[in-house]
Amino acid sequence: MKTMIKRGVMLGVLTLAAIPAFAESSLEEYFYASGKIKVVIAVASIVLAGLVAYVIILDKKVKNLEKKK
Amino acid sequence: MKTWLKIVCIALLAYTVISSLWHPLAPGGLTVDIEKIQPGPNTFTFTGYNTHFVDDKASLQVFVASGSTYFCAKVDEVIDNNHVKVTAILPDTLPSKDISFYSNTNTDGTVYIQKPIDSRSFAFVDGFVSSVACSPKVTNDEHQNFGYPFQVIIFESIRNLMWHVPMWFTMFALMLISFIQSIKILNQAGREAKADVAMDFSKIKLFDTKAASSAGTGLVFCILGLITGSIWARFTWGDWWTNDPQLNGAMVVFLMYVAYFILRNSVNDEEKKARLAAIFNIFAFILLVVLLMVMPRFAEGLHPGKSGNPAFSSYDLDSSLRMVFYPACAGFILLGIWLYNLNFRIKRLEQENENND
Amino acid sequence: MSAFRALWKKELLLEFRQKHALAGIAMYVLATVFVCYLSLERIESEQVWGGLMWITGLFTAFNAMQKTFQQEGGGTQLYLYSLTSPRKIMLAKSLYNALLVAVLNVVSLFFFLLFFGDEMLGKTDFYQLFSGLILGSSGLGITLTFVSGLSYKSGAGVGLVAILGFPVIIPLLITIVRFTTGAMIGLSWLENGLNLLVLLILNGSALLLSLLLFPYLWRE
Repeated sequence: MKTMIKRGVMLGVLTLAAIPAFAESSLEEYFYASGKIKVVIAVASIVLAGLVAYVIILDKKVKNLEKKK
Repeated sequence: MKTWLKIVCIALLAYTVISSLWHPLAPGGLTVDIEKIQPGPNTFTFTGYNTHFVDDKASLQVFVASGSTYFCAKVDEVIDNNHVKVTAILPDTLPSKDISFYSNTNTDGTVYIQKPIDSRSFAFVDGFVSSVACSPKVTNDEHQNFGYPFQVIIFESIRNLMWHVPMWFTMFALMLISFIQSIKILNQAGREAKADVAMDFSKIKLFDTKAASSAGTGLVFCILGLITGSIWARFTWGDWWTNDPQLNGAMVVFLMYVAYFILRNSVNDEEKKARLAAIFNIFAFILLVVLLMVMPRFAEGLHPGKSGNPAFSSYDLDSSLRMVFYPACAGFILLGIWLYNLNFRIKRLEQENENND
Repeated sequence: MSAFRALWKKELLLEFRQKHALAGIAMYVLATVFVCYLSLERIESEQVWGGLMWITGLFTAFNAMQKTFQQEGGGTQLYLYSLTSPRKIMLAKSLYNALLVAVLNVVSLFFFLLFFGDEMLGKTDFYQLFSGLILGSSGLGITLTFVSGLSYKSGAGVGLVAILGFPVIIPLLITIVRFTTGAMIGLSWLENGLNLLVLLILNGSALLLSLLLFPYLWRE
């Protein structure tokens, strides 16, 4: 368990350290390519992912109700 | 919720998903690789987006406009559908320093690029009529194919209109339901106090559960709206967060409804909880209307329909967008109501279980 | 009308009977402005001046409003409600608190002038500055009175005032900072008019809503 937390922290730190290097040029390059269509894909997938996550939360509540009965 | 409404909801959302991604963007002009124009021949490459230079080579025309006078350019080489190399021969004097570049084909109609061009070395003559000026065939922007309007900076991300904006419409619809239920709570509480009958909490509790579950679902759509808005802003305006009245208002709305749930959780007495939460909810909804509908009209901002953003001005009028935008809003609102309904039913069952225990 | 006057008198008496509380708030204002001075030394833009002034004003108002319902206790309130209508009580309390916040803000403006000097006030339209001071203070007073009533009734303690109050007060704060900055830059009434209009709308709707909703709040 402890090593897992350590690994998680390390991964987080490394990701954070990588962001500034990635953010400046590649992020814009990546998203500006082919007429910014990737922005649309990002936005649409966030909407869908958010709604699915909400449905999963509701599903969990239903499961709890079923268990009690 | 009625079954046919669910079917309508699914159909509308399917239509939204497909057509928001399916239809192409209308043709438009991207750039020209020229910084400075001079008298005599000027050679440059005109870059378009979604244009058909090769497919419609026969009708292709490129010209340089100075004010409202056009100078035809000779097509040297059509590189591909989006690139064409041309040479324009310009006179010693130009009528206007307002230079723009046009290309014209039968398929695409006229597309143009406005670019700040250095023309300081030019003599400036009023009322100039040139013998070299040509009269090109300028068709208007009506293109034959269905396509979303081409706008500089936004480009393809105009499709986000069908994803980002309905989030706010849905949130508003759900908060409106919550507001109406809150009014019902206060109305019921007032009636019971006046009639001096034995208090019957079941009705108040029903309204309260409805108000809370619709506000909860509304908050989900608010969060989605904030996140998608932040991403769209980053790649349009350059920052994850900009000082725009609508953006700040949305954040305040989010905070208000979080406070609503904190208030609910901090009161133990059921009847009092319903009453206090309803009072705060009414206050919050009125502020929501002021924040998202009144204040942005008074302040300068980046969102469309207000000052400071000419790029979006043709936005709400475009029929191709409207054909998808309205169904998208209706679909997402129906989905929101559906989810609220589920949330409400789950909460009711939970309450029944608690009572049975 | 006489009930209204009596209620005002009651609020004033309560305030002056607890002189230490009033002195505490005045000290709070002084300390806040002094901390601003220590950390900035001089203010070089109108926007910073306006922002600092209203952040000070906001926290002062929060401090002053927190006790507005707490100090009277349940017995007093029950007695008052048997005498007059809850709307009158709310109106008297709101207006009294608006005045209190306005006085405190004038004090804070005085301290600002004392520490930072008047070099930023060269172009200021003082009529606008003072009308902004009054409208901003009344907005803070009215809204926070209502919110503190709400949190008092919830029985969750004073912490809830901040949680409920902050989101509700932000629109007012943004507008008043903008209006004050405009007044200090030297905008005309017409140029600054939209901010004034929004301030009036926010003030009016806060007062209207608190009068409308308070009868439902006080009932046990």
